[in-house]
Amino acid sequence: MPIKGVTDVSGLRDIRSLHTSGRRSMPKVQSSAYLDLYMLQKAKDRLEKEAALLAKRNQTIQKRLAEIQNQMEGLEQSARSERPSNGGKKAAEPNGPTKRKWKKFALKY
Amino acid sequence: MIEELTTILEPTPLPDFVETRYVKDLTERAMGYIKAGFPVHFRGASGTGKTTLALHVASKIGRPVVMIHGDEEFTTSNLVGGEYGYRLRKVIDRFVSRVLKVEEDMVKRWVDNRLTVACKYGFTLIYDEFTRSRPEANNILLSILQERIMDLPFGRGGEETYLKVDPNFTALFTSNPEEYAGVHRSQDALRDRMITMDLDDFDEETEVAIVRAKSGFPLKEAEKIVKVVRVLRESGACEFAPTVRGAIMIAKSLRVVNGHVKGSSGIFQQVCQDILSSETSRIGSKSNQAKVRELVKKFAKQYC
Repeated sequence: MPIKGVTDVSGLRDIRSLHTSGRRSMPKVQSSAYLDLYMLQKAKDRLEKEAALLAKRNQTIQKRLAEIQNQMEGLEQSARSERPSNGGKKAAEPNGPTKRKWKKFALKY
Repeated sequence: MIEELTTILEPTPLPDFVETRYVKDLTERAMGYIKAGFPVHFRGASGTGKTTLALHVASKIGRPVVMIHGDEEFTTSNLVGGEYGYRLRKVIDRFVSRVLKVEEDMVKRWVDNRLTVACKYGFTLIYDEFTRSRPEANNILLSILQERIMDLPFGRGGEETYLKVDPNFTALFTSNPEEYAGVHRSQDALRDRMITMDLDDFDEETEVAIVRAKSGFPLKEAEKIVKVVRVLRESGACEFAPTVRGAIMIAKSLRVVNGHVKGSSGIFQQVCQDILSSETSRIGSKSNQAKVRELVKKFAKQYC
């Protein structure tokens, strides 16, 4: 059974409260419509602000994801070219010594 | 983690290196066999120029060179590599002040030896006097020369246990079949994988050119010295035939003492007798020495 992550667990936001379900203890009277309108307007403004923030955050995430994808493609390509033909971990290219620093010892004959 | 020996040789001819038709012909033949993909084995008695020729061919190939000198004490690990010492790593983690976390890790330090380095990077290997190593030490060469693959031990730093030999890898061998001390017979399987070129003493032209180049004597003088050595060699009276080294020694020694190449010269007689009688005797028996000294005296007077 897969372990649930933080996003899979229900939080306080998921509980329907009296406030969000529009229930009240006092009986509804006509004169309170203005108050309800005011309260709903406030809730709407708050949620719209939150949605705008999330949209902005989503935009940033998508941009970063595209950057990461580009970087990964580049690195995968260079990792593939470094891989030796014999399946070993170190590259053993024929022209290796030219790239590597060897101590040279002149031998005169 | 694998470490490697990182010193490579760059053979270059000395200004007095002589390349006569004889030497050129040998070099070209050897290069042909190498181009065809075969290792070359120069076999010959002492003083026939095996090692110098191997170095010359290696310099013509133009790749970095690693050189191994055969030895009785050699084992496979002297060629391939082995574990030399340990590498200890200790981490003390105090990130959480109330928790002490200590990690210790000790790994054996593997060092690749010359043969592995040559196979891995496609260098030219010169295995000088390979028959001085015990035959079993050279077993590793069988798969390298035939299947172009090298078997490596499991403990080699967790790396692959098979190493594909680089296509540029070339092997040159030398051996002296006439050596009477400290040599083993070469394995048939190994000898069968290489092309053996039997070297004889140099021709007269080459010997004269070598003596001239090494000593700076004029042609006529060099010819006389070489003549004495060659006549003594061909006489068959020596336990060990004198080589071009003897001629070089005579010429160089005469230069130092300002001697002349004259049969009547006492210095010339003395130098020739000292050098040739010691070079041609293995155990230094007095009777042999006396015989050689007498012959040298005779040839020096006759040809100089």
